[in-house]
Parts: sequence; C-alpha cells; structure tokens
Amino acid sequence: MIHARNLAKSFRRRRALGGLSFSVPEGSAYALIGPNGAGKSTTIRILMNILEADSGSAEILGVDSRRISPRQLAQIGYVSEYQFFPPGLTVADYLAYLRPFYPTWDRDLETSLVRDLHLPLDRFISELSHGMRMKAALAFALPFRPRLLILDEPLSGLDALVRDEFLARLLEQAGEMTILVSSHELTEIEGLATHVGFIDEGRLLFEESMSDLAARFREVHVTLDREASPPGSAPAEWLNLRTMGNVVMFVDSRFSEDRLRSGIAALPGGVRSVDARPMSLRSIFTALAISTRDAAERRI
Amino acid sequence: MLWHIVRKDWKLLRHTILLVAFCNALVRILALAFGPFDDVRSRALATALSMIDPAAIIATAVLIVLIVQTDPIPDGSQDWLVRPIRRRDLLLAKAASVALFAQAPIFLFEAAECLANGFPLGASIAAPLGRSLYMFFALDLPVLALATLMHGLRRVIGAAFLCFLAYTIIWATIAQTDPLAIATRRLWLDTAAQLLWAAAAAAGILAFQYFRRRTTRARLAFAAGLLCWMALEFLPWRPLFAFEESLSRRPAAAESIHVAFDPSAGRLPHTGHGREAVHFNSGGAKNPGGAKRDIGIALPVRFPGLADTELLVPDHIAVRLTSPAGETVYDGVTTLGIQSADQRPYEFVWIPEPTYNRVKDQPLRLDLDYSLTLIQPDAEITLPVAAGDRWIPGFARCVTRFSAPDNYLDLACLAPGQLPPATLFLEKPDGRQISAHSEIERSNYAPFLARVSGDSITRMSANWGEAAAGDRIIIRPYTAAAHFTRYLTIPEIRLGEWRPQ
Repeated sequence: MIHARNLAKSFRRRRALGGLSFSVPEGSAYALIGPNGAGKSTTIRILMNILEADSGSAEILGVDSRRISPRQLAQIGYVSEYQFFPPGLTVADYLAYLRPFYPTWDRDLETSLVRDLHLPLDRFISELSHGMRMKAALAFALPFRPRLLILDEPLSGLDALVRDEFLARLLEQAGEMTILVSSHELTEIEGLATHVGFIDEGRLLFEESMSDLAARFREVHVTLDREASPPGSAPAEWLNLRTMGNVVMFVDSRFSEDRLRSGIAALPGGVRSVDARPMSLRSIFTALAISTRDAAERRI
Repeated sequence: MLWHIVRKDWKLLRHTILLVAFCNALVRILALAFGPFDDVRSRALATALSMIDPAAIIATAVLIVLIVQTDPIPDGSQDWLVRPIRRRDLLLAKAASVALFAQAPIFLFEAAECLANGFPLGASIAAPLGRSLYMFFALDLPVLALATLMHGLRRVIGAAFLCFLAYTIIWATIAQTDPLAIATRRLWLDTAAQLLWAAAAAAGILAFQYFRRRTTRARLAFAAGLLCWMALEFLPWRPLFAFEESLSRRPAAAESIHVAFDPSAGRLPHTGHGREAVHFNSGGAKNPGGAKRDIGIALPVRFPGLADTELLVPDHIAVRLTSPAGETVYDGVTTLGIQSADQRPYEFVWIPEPTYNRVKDQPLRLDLDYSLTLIQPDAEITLPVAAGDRWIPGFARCVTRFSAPDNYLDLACLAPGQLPPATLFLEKPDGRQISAHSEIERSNYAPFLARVSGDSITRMSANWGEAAAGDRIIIRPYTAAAHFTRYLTIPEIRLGEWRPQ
C-alpha cells in the first residue's frame, strides 16, 4: 500500500530524513512512532506530495507519490493536527463542498459520523475548538470510505473524552482500510496498530508487526543474592541496563527464554528470581528512545 | 468542479465581493455625476473621484488576493492539497472567480455608465469590455500570480509594496539620469509588449505554482519577470517604430514629405522666456536642459511636402553631433511640436554647457533622425453652438452650453473607448476660425484603451470666450495615416552660430 525507499529531506542545513525506508502492508494499521523531530510528519507530507523529497522515492496506492493524482487522493483520507480548513465555512458547508469530489461519498456514513462525533453542523470552522476541529477533520476524511487513511498526530492536544470518541469512530471503520498513523499517544494507538515502525533522526530503526514486537520485548528484573553491580559486558539486545540494590533491570529487545537464561547465567552472583514482563508500546518506545539517546551521547 | 470551487469562494468572500463592487459602483456613479463639463462642481467631484478611484482599484486587487488565499499555494497545511481537486480546475476556478467577482462588476458598471451617457448599446458594451480585458491581463493576472507566492494577505501586500518601491526607485533613477528617454516614449507598442509580457509571465507563474508548487523558484521568476517588464520600457526605438511603420494605414501618403534645414530663416531671436516657452508647444516632453546647465541651439527646419490639411507629429527625434575627427560630441534625443504646413519651426538641441563651450566654434556634423507620424483629417463635424446634447455617430456624445455672464461657450465630448485625435475650432459667420486646444497630443495610436484607472470613456472639452449664437463649432478628427522616418544631415555646422540671440 505504501513503500518508501531511501527518502531524504533537509530543510536548509537541518536533516529531517536521512534515507528512510519502510513499507505499510495492505489492510494493516501502521503506527509510525518516534521522538519529536524524528521526521514523522515530514515523511507523511512527502507521501501526500505536499513536500518533495530531496532524494529517494515513495509509492502510495501503487503510484509514485510525486505523481499522485485526484484519482488516488479520492481514495485517501488524511487527518493532521496541522490541517487548515476554510475558516469562513460551517461544518455543513464544508461537507457539502467536499461531497462532489468523491464518487464514493456515503451520506449515511457522513450523518452517523456527525452524530457520533457530536459535530455542530452550523458552527463556523473558525469557531471550533481544537478537539472539535480534529473530530471534524475525521468526519471530513471518512465518509468516502477511503482505502488508505493517513493520520498525522491526530490525538495531539485532545482531552480524554474527545480521544475516546475519535478512536471509537476510527476503530469502527478500521477494518475497511489501511491506516498509517504517526502519534505520540502510544497507549491509545496500541489498540489500533497492527504494525509499528520506529524512526529516529530521519531513519527507521525497525519495523515489525505488533505481535512480533510484543513477543520480542520484555522488561526483565533479575534479583541476585547480593548487591548487584553492572556487568562488564552484557548482550547487545539488553537495553537500558541498570542496577538497584540486588536487582538488575533491563529491557530485552530479543526475548527468548533460552537466550535470557544463558545471559543471566553470566551475571556475577547467584540469581534468586527472574521476572520478564511483556511491555506496552509506550514502554517499548520509551526504552528505545532512552537507549537511542544514550547511544548518541556516548558517540558524542 | 470548477464552478463548485467558484461557488465556495463566493460563499467565503461574498461580503468582500459586495463591498468591492459597491466601491466600484460608487466610482462610476461619481463619474456619471461628474457630467461632461469641467466646472467647479465637477472639480469637487473630480477630487472625490481621484481619491476613491485608486481606492477601488486597490480594493479590487485585495479581493483578487483573497480569492487566491481561500486556497493558498505555498502553505503545506492546506486541506485542498489532500483532496481530489484537479489543479487545473483550481487554477481555472480562481481565474473565473477573479473574472466574475472582481472584473465583471467593473464591466457592468461601466457599461451602465456608458448607456446612461447615451452611447449606443454596441459601443456601451464594446468599450468597457475592451478595458476590462486590458485590466484582466494588465492588473488581475499579475496580482493573481503574486498572490500565489505567499500565504496571507499581509505578506502579499508587503510584497506588492516592495515591488512598487523597487519600480519607483528604478524608474526615478532612470528619469533623473535621462528624462527624455521617458518623455519621448509615446509609442503604445512598449505598453503592448509589457502587457503581453505581464500576461505571459503571470500565466507561467500561475501554471508553475498550481501544477508544481515550487514557491521559491516562482518567487525568483516573479522578480526576474518584474525586471524584464521594466526593461520593456526601454525597448530600442528603431525596431518598435519599424513595427509601427508596418501598421501604417496609408504609407504612400508620406512619400512626398521631407525634412530640410532652412538657414535662410536665420537665427532665432531670444524671447527672454525660458527655453521651453520659446518653442516647445508639444506639451508632452520637458527638455532635460530645463533643470541642468544645458545650452540650447535652435535650428530652422522645414517639412516640405506636407499638405495644408495634414499635420505631422514628431514622435521621436534622435540627435548626433560628430566632430570632423569622427568623435561623437553629443548623442541624445529631442522633441518638436506638432507641425503643419504653414509652420517654420526651430529644432532645439540641448547640449551640456561644458561640451557646448568646448565645441561651439568648431565645424560639426549634425544628424537628426526623425520618427514621424502623418495625420490626415477625416470628415469635419460641424455643430451649432446651441447644439445642446447630441450623439455624433462614429465620434462622441457632444454637449454645448453658454456660461453667463461672459457668454463663454463650453463644449464637452465623451466617447466610449478611444477618441480620435482632433482639433476644435469656433467658426465665426465671417469664416474666421478661433482654435481651442488640440486633442492630438494625447493620441498614441494605440488600438486599445490601455487604462487601469478611470473608466472606458474618453473625455474632451474646450471653451471659447465671446461666442455668439450664429457661430459654429468645427471638430476636425484625424487619422494616423502613416508612420515614417526621415533623416536630416547637416554636414557642417557651428553651434555658436545657432544659439538664440
């Protein structure tokens, strides 16, 4: 559905993307995650042909993103926290404006979206709060049943109630389409995403399915029979290794029981207990972000 | 989808559109109230009009910017970018919105003004339509192009101000350096070239922005286009006039006309007035010498072959003085008033004082390169002084009135579109003709009305004192029959001998 190959983009001297490659399989809900400034929004803007990459290429719905035409755009829903709608139109006016551009526009779906999202049709877009505007953006992006839905930080700045409404409505239609979502709100999108790509400094660190990711990462606490000291060498897949009293803590990024057991056996001192817990997407993201940052600091 | 986008723009901007239309309507109503005569009441209205008219033009330009800014190009957060809207449709919709919401009201109000002035329906549509088309290409399209380069009205206004400032500075610098280079350019061809360039460059930038969204490059292209547009003011005279010559209606009519140096006329006596007062009756060009330390020499010339009824308009006169050694002592341009067969004009050449002092007693070769236009009279129009208000087919609506207490006769003529060059006379019963000012000076032979401000009506007025009921007004319209060049070479001349005494 989406294939990006070696995308590079700089803004003056600042490099935003440095050879980013990733793929979004059809039918998946792909979460593009990464710290602020990692290049998520730039990537999405290149995919939508809003920005042009300095090098590399991207394919979206089988078409080079630089040649994306109204035919493809009629199948793509796009929601962004930065999206700008005509402020002088009401929600109803703008829905009426958009309808003729989409042959697949579903008036019943539009009505149900407006109802479920509690959108005031007669309110000017300029008068909508941020949360209401994001819900309106969703209502403007879904009624034509897009094959691909692209969400750029859709939950940013939304309160809990609006988030729930937004996600609930999104999940209702999620099965019909491929979704690419960039977000910081990892807890919320965890229930939505089937695949995840982690980018930092404009490069993809990894991408895989959520099930593989969940199976691969474990938060490990090893309790020793004496005061723990940081081991001289530890497996590379152990991230954020630290000690506290008798406990050695780390994130195992390639979890398998056998490998973990052999790794722990190399720790100095007797092992009293091992606790390897599955991690949430947020915890995995945090662990990766810290690890990446530490690695960068070590390089400096 | 084009009209769907236009309808959306109407919905977003309808209040502004109506306000701008009201401004333009007000201008036309004031112009109508202005009436045909240039009297005190009209002057008060003219002052009001002179303030509101530019305001209406600026308001129209702002409206054009707003039409573009409902779907701005450079801003990557605009929703239209991710919608299945054909760029071509969007571009055409913007052009259509400008034509409908900005230009069409101007056209309609002007057509109404023409009809209210008693012009025939055809002329009342044709003249405003011609000017509206001119405005669309000369003003609307360039503003449309500029508006695609920025996001936000304030930025566009800032950019427009910078463009205006750059234009003014460059223009003022050139005018200071060589005023005659500007003053003698009455040719409409450079205006036409600028119009074509502005329309083509604007169309290019619009296409570039709407189809490619390369704002930085488009801005550079706009700046380069603006400089080229200004450079078109200084197209070389020769090829332009050669083109003008090729458009002559009756080129053979000028074949017998020559220019000759006539030393028998003697040296021009000094009148004691300024240099311009001595001779320059053209009204158009001021001599650069007026403000500098230049010395004028006055050369008697004649134009044999010019028929009694014909007039000759010197459009451009290039002057070159060469020393016997082949050194160019002076290279410039000069002017001369409109010539008739009975005139014995003196051709003034202004030389910088140091140069004059250095060469005044030397024998020099003088070359004068004339670009001339022969204008021939059409059928005269005769009006009784008490004609009142009447439409003269093919010419204009003309109104006469007597003003008490001195029995002054006022004549005012209003024409849809261009008014042909004309001279106006009051003919007494005994055949004496008293002339009023000539309208020939304002003629520029342009086949279109190149006017952004004002309207599509050309006005002309004249007055005579002590007119009597039996007098007649004679209007003599002219047609530019031939554009041609003539050379005058004086192989040996001493400047000192031709300085006015």
